[in-house]
Amino acid sequence: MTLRYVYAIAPSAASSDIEAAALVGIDESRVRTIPERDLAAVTSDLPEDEWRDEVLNERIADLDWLAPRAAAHQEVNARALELAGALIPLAFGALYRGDARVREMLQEEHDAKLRKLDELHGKAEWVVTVTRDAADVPGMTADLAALDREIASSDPGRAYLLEKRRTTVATAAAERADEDAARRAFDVLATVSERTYREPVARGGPDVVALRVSLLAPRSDQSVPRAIAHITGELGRDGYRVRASGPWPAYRFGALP
Amino acid sequence: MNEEATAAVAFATKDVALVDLIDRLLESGVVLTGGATISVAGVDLIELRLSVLLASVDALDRSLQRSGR
Repeated sequence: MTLRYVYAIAPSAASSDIEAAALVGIDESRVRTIPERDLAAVTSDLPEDEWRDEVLNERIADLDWLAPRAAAHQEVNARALELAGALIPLAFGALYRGDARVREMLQEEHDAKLRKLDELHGKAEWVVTVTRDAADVPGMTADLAALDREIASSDPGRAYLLEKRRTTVATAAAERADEDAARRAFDVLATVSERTYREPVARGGPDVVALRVSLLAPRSDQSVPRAIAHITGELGRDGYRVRASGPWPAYRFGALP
Repeated sequence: MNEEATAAVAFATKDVALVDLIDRLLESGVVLTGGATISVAGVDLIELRLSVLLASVDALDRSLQRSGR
């Protein structure tokens, strides 16, 4: 028995081109399309005994297992996007019991999916993250330097209280600096983006994430990498690192309304 | 495009870091749910475990919120 693994939804007009390209999917499976009305699912068949949910949920936490399969998923979508011009890429691990189930999925909100494909035509997304070391305190002001001098020349009791005050001041300064860095980066990126999405960020790691944003722009638009290079230089001078990846099929914006 | 821009953005699929790949494919992306679909991204436990692995990226807050639900 096999399951249908769905990589993405494409316009059905691209179906024959995708078939002709004979793409290789996860675990060397052959990629084929399942068309329904104006849409086509980009799929391949995977053995049920290896991909049923209990097995999959067990394996997915194993990065050695996941890495090549995630890469294959993305490779299929990158090629399919080139061929189709527009794609709604799915998250990893969407599996269906048979072609009929895939067709049902394509029929659900068929017109909304079609409109989404229209909206994403020729577009790609980038992810930009602005971080700094948690130990660094950007925006070390003259106030902090003055406090440090006072701590150095104080008796232990007073120094203790001043230390606490210093932490409060430093935290506030860091927050202000992070907000400022995030705003500067976001403003530059927003000017080259059609849509932006502020990703939620975790706190408490070795890095402070000042900003994490997904952006949607024309796929071949060189203004996006230029904007990223610009903020990398600008914010780098203030102790921030900028990490970016793209262009991706619209994983984030395909999932947003 | 200048060299700095090339350095800043990973363009080729093969150059993309695993962490970015998993972030896009498991944390973003259309998640299909319902009886007909098996979708790993719908499994809280898995999300939590993966998110812990990816905590340095951005996922921990959300998974902790979910697991506390």
